[in-house]
Amino acid sequence: MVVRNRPDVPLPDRRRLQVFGFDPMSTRLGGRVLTIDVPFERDLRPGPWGDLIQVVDYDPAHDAWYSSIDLDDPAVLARGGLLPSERDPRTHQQVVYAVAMSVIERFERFGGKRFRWRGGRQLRLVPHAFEGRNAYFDPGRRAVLFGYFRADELDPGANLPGQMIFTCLSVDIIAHEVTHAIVHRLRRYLSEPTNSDVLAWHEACADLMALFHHFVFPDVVAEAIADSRGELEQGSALLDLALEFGESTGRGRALRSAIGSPRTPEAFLSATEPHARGACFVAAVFDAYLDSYRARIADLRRLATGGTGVLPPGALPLDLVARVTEEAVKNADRLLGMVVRAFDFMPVVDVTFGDVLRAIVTADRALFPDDGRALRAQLVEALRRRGIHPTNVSSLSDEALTWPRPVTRLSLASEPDVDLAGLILAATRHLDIEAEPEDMGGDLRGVPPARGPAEATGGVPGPTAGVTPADADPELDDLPDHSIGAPLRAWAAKHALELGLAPEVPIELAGVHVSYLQAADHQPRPVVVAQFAQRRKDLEDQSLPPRRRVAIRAGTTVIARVDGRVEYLVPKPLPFPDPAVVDRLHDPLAGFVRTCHRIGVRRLAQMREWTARVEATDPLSAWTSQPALQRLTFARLHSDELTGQG
Amino acid sequence: MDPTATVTVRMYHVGFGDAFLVTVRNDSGAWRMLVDCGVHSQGQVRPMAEVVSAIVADLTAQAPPGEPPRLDVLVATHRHADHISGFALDAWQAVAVGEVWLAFVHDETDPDGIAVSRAQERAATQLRELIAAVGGPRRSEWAPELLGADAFAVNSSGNAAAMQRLLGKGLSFQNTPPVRFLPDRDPARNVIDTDLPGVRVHVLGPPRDAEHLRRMDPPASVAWLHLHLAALSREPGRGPLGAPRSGSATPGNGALDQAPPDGPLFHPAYVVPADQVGPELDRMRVSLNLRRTADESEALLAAGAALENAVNNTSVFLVLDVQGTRLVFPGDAQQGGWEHVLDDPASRALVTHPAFYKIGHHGSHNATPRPFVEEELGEGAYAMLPWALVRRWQDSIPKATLMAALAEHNTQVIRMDAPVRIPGVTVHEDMWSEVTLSPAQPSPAAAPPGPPAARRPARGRTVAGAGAAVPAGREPAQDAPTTAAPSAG
Repeated sequence: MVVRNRPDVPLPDRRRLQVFGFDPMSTRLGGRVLTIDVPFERDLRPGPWGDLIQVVDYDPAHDAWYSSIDLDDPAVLARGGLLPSERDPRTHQQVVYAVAMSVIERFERFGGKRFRWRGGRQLRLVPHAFEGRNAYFDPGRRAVLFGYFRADELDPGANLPGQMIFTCLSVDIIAHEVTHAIVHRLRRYLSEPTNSDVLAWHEACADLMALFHHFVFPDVVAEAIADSRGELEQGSALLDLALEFGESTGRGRALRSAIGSPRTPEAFLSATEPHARGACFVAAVFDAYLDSYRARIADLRRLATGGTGVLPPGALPLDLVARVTEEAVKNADRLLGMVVRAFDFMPVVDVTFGDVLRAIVTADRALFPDDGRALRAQLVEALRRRGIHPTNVSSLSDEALTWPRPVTRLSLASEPDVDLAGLILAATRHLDIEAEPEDMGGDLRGVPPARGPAEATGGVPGPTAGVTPADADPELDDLPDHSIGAPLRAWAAKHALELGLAPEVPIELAGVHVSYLQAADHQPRPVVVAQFAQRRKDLEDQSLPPRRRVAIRAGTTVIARVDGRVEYLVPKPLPFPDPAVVDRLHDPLAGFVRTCHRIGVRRLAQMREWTARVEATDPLSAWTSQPALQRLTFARLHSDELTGQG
Repeated sequence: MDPTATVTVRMYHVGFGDAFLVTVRNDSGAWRMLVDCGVHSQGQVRPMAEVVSAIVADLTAQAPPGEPPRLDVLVATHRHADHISGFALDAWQAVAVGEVWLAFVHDETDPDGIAVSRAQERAATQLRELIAAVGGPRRSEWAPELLGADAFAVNSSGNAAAMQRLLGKGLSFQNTPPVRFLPDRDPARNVIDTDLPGVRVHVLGPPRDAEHLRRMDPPASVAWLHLHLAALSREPGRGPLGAPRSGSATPGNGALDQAPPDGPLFHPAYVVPADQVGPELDRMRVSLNLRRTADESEALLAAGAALENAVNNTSVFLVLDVQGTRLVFPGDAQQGGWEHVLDDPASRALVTHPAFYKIGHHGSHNATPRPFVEEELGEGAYAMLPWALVRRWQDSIPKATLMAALAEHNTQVIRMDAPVRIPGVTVHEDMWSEVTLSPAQPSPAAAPPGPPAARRPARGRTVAGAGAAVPAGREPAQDAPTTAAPSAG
């Protein structure tokens, strides 16, 4: 930026940008424009192109580049960003940038770590990527593609018939899609749908982030609370606010029917489709939110009513609205924080909602052993009532739900080559130690190549699969032999059995983060989280060439203290190639390995059953040898949702 | 005791399609049933007229002198071209037909049924229009997915002349035979006796309960496309989003499926002039490769496959029982249709240890459930695969894992594309292959080749009356003609 003042006036910390609240239609009806403030990126280029986000406004249908917005233009800065307008593409760029940055920042805040994409590169946001009622995260392109479409001629809703609708202007859609990208960044293999919960968790996470994003705008929350008057304690205003989520965009249909519905397990138990299952999880979290909100404002209500509990008629006192709003916003942060922190404690592959619950409890218990406000207990109970709980635990007590500790003493520092200090420094700065050029699928990898008619086999083009095609696997040999990563892999190879992995199969370091979390006692609780994964080609469908198969992976998350001592293991084992390996071991390790083998056998059978079910229900299965799992992409999931198949 | 019968199944080599002539003979006469006669538009190995002539000639040769060629029963399992296209040909006017059997979805007096087939027809027609609109006038420029989608839509649409003949509307056979719609609402009428003793047909599908009817309805993915089509039909010559069709791809963009919407999205002032797009942006555009995104051709392909699947599930599913030797003709029933059969213990018993299995849907995935092969088919059965190469599907049909599973169970697979002369099988030039089965006789010496220990005991433990099928290994005899028509049981 041009320096005009001497001595320098320091750059601001925050950049304020205007967005629709929460899309053009509701802004028109409610007159609401929201201001989001995001970190002030120095040297932000027009686009905007920053350190984390590149907005690429190329419209392939018109073969047109639209002028990029320069957010550092004084005229723009002074306004707090341009007033969003459907007719000015530059404001579209501003909106996607602002919401994406805001979502990323919330992940950083709750997760206790600096967020970076793999390889220090950027997520690309394409606001006008195609014509169609869809928007999706495409891992292969490391991009979020937003579609635009005409409102229905006959049933346009509150829009004009035939009016152009831009999905990139909906705060909900942007938050949802960027969250998919973030989840994919943190847990790459959770884009591989190895059971019915994996993509459902992706969806649930994206919806939670987008839904609770509504509760971070104090003005919006205050307005809803002020309107609710006497029903204050029921939280119906907040329920309405949640139900508004996705209303105009067609998103969140499953959510709207789940949120606030009776708390029974039937819906979850019968749901197989990812959105429906995910919606049950979101609804349960929202139940817990309302419960804890009610508990937290009970005192305010008593104060405001002189103990009678009966509010006087008319508008609520402004002070009361302000205090209640504060509680509502804080509460949203606390619940969302619980969920985001749980990421470190999730399995590397094949996650289930039961695992999510255990991860939440393990993470929260480490920080808040007392669960003073019973928030954790409320969440566990809310999930249980909707049928979401692990199947193989003895009870729903904290102790039973916490992940097991390693059976043997295990420390990252046991290997002299593991430079723990260097690892922590690198993982803190870059979120991962290995600047893999092949991150997120790489630049062109996974992007469908132009195909000749000879390949017209009915294969599905377009969005690259959530399932990483096997040829896109980071081959272990290709990984840079980084001075920090290699010893860590060597450590894992040496301790493979202790980690529940096969000693004879190469182990991949899928990621290593350091999270700096603050506990109830206000002490920092930094943890090192390493994800080890292992592809088991021997267990895959041998009828396909390796590069076209659905990969079968084992994985183990290792959570260690900064002194290297391993606190928790989250294994997702597979049967050992040589089960006799256990004969050479002694308890307790022998018992652990035996258990891993048994769980692995069951898990493999379940994966195969699930794969067969997906094949059987996809009509395209008959016509192509491509595994149906590779057609379960975010693009297709979202398209189904927006167009009414979901 | 009933006179011992033999049964032959003759598979005509039509290409990617079905045409099966079943003949049951005993001392007193013969009973003939034709199951389907059609070929896929993309999988023909010879003109369909040749096949129909051959069928008519074969029937004529077997008819008594001076009498017309005759079929006791003609079954059209479902309305796909690869099963009925041959009935459009007028050569059928020479053949007398006892009864025509069709799925209940073609019954004008059955409101549930006819609603399904009307909806399917409508969906197919609209899908084709939409594909044409999206693809533009030059077919050579269509994306592979569009061509794939079109192949599905073509298979499900049209076929009007064939249906007219089958339903006796305007076109006919030598006579205008009565039409029996299957299955009957009365379960008792779904076991159909023939005039030959001990020879009956069990009708196991298509299912007609509400849940399955819903599955046969054109899927939602087709339904939503109608929205686009509505806009299209109001504005002739415009694309599905109201976009004018240019027909040619934009240079440098290669937009196969994306025509520009009417007019620019934004005021031209916002568009960066081409000469000011720097190399950095160009690299970005190339690296994102946005011209192939999740566009409509993919949606259309998925919709086409879903429609294909829905029509397949209207298939008439028959088991022919000849004195305990059972032959399974599932049409092209998919997951839904098979589930209905396997979930019902009585139906499941009927497909357990059959002597013959017509491999469903040309050997594709989903048309022969794994539990059927692993648990019910048993060892050493004969199976016929009506298949010819369609390049588009060569990697997936027939499904390699299915063929391997059949081989594991020592199934004697008779492939149309590679006729084999194994005992019990006759191959006539390249026009047909035929398998001959005889119901159980106390003649162990006649056991067919293959692992002997594995096959017979398994078959012996089947439902009451099921005996071993023994191929006779001879040319079919010219039996005495029969005039017997099937009668309702």
